[in-house]
Amino acid sequence: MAGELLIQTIDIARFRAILPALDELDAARALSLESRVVLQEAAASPFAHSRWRTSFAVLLGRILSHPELELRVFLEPRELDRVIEGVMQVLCFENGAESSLVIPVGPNWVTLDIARAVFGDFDWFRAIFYPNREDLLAYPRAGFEGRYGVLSREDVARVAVGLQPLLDDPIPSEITARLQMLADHFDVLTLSQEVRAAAEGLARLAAKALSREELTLAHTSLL
Amino acid sequence: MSHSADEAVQRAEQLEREAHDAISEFRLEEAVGCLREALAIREACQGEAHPDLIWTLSLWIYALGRKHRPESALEAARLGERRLALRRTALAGAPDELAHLLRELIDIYTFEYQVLDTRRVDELRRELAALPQAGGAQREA
Repeated sequence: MAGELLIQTIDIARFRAILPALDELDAARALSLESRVVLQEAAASPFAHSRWRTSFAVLLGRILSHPELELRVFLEPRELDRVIEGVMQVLCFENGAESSLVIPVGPNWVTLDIARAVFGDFDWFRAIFYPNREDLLAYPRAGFEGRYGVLSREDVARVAVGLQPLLDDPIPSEITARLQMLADHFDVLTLSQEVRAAAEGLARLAAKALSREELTLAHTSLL
Repeated sequence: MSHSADEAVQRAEQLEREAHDAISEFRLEEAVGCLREALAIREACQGEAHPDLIWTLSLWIYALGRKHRPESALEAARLGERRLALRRTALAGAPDELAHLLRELIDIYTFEYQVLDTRRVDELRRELAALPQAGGAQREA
């Protein structure tokens, strides 16, 4: 599979707060006390120790064991990339940015695969989820593992409104017609179920993001 | 450090940042060019044994690794040997890091599951095995 769109909730206020620590990691010199506190918090998170992040936890342990050392002396550049990405995901994303390609809708994510073909028909969706570069989440070394686009609160509200027709029962005729058009490539029933599940999941994420000032939605294309 | 030496070191740091960006975008020849210049600047201004050379070498090794060719791996191993010597000095107060450094060099010598210099890798493995903290439990994933 390729080209899926992953959408998740992110605490953008937390992201701004830890940005100085990410910049210090990027410089690869010795860390300040404030940045070490950020890393200690990341290390204490259960998400730092998930099965797919074991090397991240080891790297954090090595850094925190040697506060006197410059990071550039004992870490590899790619290891620093991994630490920056991991700290950002563990501390800023809900559930440590956990996601799945196999389970398209989870508590903190929606992965649009074949449903993306249907969502891509909506002007609001294309305007919001095919962003310009200035919409990208800016942090050091972003891009090694894909770039995140980030939504404004206005965009999140547009998503919530735009999804409404997909949540109606029955699905409006123009969307059903689009599903029929795609039937050459996909089973209609499977597609309609996937679209409905994705719409419900995305509506839930949007509602959650709108419920707290510091939250918004972030998205990235999976290669 | 004199003003001109300070400016030269800043130039080396700028070249390293440019190299890192180039590596991420797979402009690997450009990255290697930047790093060759950065290393020459640092050697001239800071001396051949300065710990700041480690990062320049690490970026160079990173770029060569991304080329994914056996001749690049051998060149990376040559740079890795020099880096290990610098790291042994810089990390003398952190003996627990030595195992990581030895494993990294063994990895550099290994291309597509083929060991490029068996004698040298055996030496590194013997040194690794002799470390007090070496062993399966310490091996990171």
